[in-house]
Amino acid sequence: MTSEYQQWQKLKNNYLKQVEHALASINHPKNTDVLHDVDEHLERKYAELPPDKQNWEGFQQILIEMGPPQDYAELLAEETLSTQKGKFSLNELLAVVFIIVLIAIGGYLIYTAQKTSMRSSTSAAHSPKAFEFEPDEQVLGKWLTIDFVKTIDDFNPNQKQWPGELFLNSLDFEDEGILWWTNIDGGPYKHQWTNGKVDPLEDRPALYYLQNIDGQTYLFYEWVSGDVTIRGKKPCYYVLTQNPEQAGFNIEPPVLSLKRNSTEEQSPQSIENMGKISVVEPPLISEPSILGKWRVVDCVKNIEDFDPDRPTYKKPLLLKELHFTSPQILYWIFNNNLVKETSFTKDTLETVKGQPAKYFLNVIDEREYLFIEWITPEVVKERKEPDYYVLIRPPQSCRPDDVINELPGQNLVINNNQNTNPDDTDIVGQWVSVDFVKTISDFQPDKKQWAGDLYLKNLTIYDDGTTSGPWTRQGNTLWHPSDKTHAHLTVQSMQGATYLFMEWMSGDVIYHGQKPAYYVLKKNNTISDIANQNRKITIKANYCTANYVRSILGTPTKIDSGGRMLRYTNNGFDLWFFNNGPLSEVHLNKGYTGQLKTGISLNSTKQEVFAIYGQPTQTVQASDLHGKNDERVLCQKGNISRIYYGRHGLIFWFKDDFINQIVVFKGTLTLE
Amino acid sequence: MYVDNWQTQLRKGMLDIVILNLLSHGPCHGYEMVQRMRKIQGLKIREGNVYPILARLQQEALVESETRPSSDGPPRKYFKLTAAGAKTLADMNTHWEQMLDSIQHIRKGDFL
Repeated sequence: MTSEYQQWQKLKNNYLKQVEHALASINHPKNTDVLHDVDEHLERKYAELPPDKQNWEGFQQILIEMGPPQDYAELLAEETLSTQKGKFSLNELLAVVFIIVLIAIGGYLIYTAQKTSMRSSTSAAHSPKAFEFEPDEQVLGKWLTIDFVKTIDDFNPNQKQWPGELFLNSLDFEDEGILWWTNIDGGPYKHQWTNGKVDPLEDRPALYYLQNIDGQTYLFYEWVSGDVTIRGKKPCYYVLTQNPEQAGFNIEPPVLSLKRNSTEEQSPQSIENMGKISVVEPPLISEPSILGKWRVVDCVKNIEDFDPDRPTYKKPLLLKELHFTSPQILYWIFNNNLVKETSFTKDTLETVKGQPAKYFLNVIDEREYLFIEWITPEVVKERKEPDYYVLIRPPQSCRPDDVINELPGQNLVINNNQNTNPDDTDIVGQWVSVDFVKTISDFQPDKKQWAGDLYLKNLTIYDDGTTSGPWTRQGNTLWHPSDKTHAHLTVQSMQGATYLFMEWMSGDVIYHGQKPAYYVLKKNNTISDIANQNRKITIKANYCTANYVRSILGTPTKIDSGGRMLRYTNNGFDLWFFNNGPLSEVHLNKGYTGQLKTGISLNSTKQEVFAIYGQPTQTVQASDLHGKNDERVLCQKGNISRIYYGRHGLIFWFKDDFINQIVVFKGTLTLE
Repeated sequence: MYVDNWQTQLRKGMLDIVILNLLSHGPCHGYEMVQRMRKIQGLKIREGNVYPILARLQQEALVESETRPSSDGPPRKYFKLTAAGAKTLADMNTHWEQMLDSIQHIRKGDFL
């Protein structure tokens, strides 16, 4: 990351913080959407900034052109203008009158932008509700933060209590109830105050206290976090002084990053009590049961409202997926494909706005559901009860249900026959993006045309019509099922290499009838090339990591569970890995055409399995078949059954009398 | 100064009808909308202004959005008029024409 980009990110984030703060002043359900849209807009502005403008002045210009943050709240607020009612406000009527006058005097309609400073524009805009101001001469002036304590009594001028970064930088109390607030992300942000209170119009104002300790006056400012407003906990206190040099300990310089330093010892009470800070300073507690991908299925007012068979939320939900990965990184995937990264710890995750939200797992009808609190600005500011997003693991990404058996097993030679249609050899295979061109004839192998990043990085087209992307191949086209578009494919050989030209069906093509541009992808190798390498993959061998497997088998069709599962649809198997470790299991699914060295394949019957590996010692009925690892015990639930052969490193799943899946957790997989 | 302030208010007041009319010509993503509006002399759009308006129009069910792949980056959110939006816009445009007409009469002194 370049220093310019870092500088841009900081300025952008400051701006977004101010927008967020402004939006928080109104109660509108689209606040988050606006923030996302503005964020995307800003990123695009940055991407299109010429190199010579990629400096502080250029970045500032972008932000000035966006307009003052308070505009967002004013324009979003419902009372501004109601198109639904079909009426015009007095302001608008006046506006109409005046615009005609302007037209009449010669089209004089020039707006001279007021490039006022953020602070002056802030003070000019959006006048909130009035409150009765009661002065406090003692608090006037600027106060600098020196500590953060659980109770006022905990403060010791000679011994700083809070080991980490201090989020709040300063408070500047001005006459007439104006307070300027700065934090490590920026500011100043405008707040209000009156005697003893900050933000007096909030449901829960933050109280402040002045206290003289050893001849020095300290300001104790309540930190009204979500834990206070939502969970009713007691607030912690920021400690501020007007004479920081007289404090008994040095003030750390402002830190520009909220990232966790995992090597630092964390204050145990920080998790529950520190609001925003608590989220970014948690002790790292491993929570393996949560790892992996979760998909949103519903959003409910109360947990008990959730019914797996009757989702209550009709509209498209904002959040699409959560990916919990190790170490404690949480990816939020929204329905507009926006991806945000936060952190999580045991029982608590960090929202994209830096708020703590509780999560927990619940089993309903033998299925695991993840419930997360949905922390909106209304929840924080108005102390409303949060809704709950409900998520499930996608069906195809169930976690391995068995532990590795330590008994010595025999090596299993697994033949994996590839049936590549020779007619498809031109298109089937791995492709790597090398360029993006307006027309095919524009492409030159030795001169890249597209200056920016290539959104599509690579593409694998399998001989069964599936691809590594959202498309399926139909002849020489790629069908996008949700966009309902066919992208034509053209293969050309140039300078000894094979290139695939793929029509890119963008919104401009779909909506505006423009001709598609082309992604140019260079052939990497074919599926049969990979299979013919005849390499071996041994379960539990230290070298046999996900990266090693990918170097042999190429890009998987799907990666799941935080990178622990690689799916190779064309091969008909899923490979499961220990967390950051070697291969743990191979799941042979329908579509797998090979066989075990005993000759057992996916087409074999239950009786054939029993004949080779041994008859069940007993048959039991079970409500949950997962994790039933008693040797040679057949567990049944309805028409599904499962038997565990630990000595052979095998688990067989049956549907009726036929094998549905084979789990191999001991042995070697050989591609022949 | 008075004119400056008035123009700011005027611009904000006009944004709904401007955006709805823009969308009446077909779906458009926010960034593209801003670029088009910037070309309209006198409008002098502040780029961020479109997003709260679009959000509000969505809330009013006059506009809807969907995400589509883009040619040069992440997928983009496209906005388009709903049937209710088209009807509301027709009403707004009619009202706008009536206002223009009325003011022309006033300016000419027809009412005297």
